[in-house]
Amino acid sequence: MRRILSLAFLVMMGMSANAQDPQVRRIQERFDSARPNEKSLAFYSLDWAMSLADAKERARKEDRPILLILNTNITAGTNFFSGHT
Amino acid sequence: MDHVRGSSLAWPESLETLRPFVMTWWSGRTIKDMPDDIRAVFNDANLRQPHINLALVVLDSKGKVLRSVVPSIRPPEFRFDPEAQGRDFKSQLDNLLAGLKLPKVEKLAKPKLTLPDICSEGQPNGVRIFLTFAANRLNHYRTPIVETVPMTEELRKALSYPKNAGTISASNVRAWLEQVYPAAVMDGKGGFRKIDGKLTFAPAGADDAYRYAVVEGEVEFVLDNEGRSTYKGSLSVALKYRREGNALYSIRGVCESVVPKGPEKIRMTVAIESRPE
Repeated sequence: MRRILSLAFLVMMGMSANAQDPQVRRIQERFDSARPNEKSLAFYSLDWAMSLADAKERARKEDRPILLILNTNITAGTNFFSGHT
Repeated sequence: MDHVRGSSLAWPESLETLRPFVMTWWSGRTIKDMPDDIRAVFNDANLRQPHINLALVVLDSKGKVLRSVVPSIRPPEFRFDPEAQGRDFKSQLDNLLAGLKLPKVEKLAKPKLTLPDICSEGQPNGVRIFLTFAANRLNHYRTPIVETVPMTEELRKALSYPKNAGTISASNVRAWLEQVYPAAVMDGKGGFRKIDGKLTFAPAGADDAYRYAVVEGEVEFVLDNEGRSTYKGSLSVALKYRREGNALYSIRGVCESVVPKGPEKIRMTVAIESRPE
C-alpha cells in the first residue's frame, strides 16, 4: 500500500521515478507518511470564518447560524483554526 | 485549549453537530483584549467572567445572541480519556442546541476539507506545514496543526538551484522552522531564543523536465518559554526545479523531533509541502 501511495505521489508531483536520485525518493516517501490523512484532518471540514465580522457577513448571506468560541489564556491566545498557540 | 480542539470539537459526532454553523473564534490573553464586536457578544451573552477557559455562543443569521454556555472541560474526571471527553462535550453541545431550529446540512460521503492556504500568486507561493504528535497525557495533539508560510525573495534566493554541493544555515529557512513547535508550550513571550544548524544543500539528479536538490541536516531549537524547551529536529527537504533557470518550483520536506513538555517527551512529525503544488 505504501509503495502504491508513493508511486501515486510521484505521479502527482510530475516526477519521473526512474530518473530520481534515491535520496529524493526517500524524502518523498517520508513526506507521504508524515502528511496527515483526511480522516485525521476532519476538524478542517468544519466551515470556519477567520473573524466574527466575516462570520456575520457569511451567516447573513447564507441564512445560517454562527457558533463563536471564546477563550482567554494568560500566556497567549490560541488560533483555533490552525491549532498553534 | 488544544485538548478542546483535538478531543472535543473534533469528536466525530460533535463535528456533525457543528456542521450547520459558520464557526469562528476569538482568543486573547484577557477579556480586556477583546475588540468591540466580540465584547458586544460577550456582554449580550451575559458571560461576566474575568477569565474564559472556554465559552460557546450561538448567534442567529442576523448576529443576535441566542444562547451561550461555559462548558465544563474536565480531563482528569475522565482519566484523560479522549473518547470519554469527546462524549461528554458532545452531550454539553446537545444541551446548548436543544430545541434550536438549525438548517439541514446534507451529509457528504467525503466532507470537503478547507486547510489553511496561501492566497498569493506564484509557484511556489509558499508552503503548508503539517505538525502531528504522538499522544500525550492531556490529549493536546489529537488534531494536526496546519500552518502556512508565504514565499519570500530571501527564501527563493537561498533555495535557488545549487550548481555544486554546499551548505546553508537553518536561518535561511527560519520562516518555515519558526512553525516547528507544539501547541501549549509557548508560555513565555512566544517565539524562539534559537534556531540554529548547518544544512547540506546539494544537487540530486534530474529527469527530462526537472532538476532536483536536497537540503538535509540537524536543527537545534530553543523556545522562548519559561522552561526554555530545547529540542533537535532532523530536517530533509527535496526541492524541484525546472530545467531552465535556477528558480525553485516545488518542495516536499519532513522534520522529525522529540519535544519535551513537562515530564513528557512527545514525538513531533512535520510535513512541509509547497503550494499550490
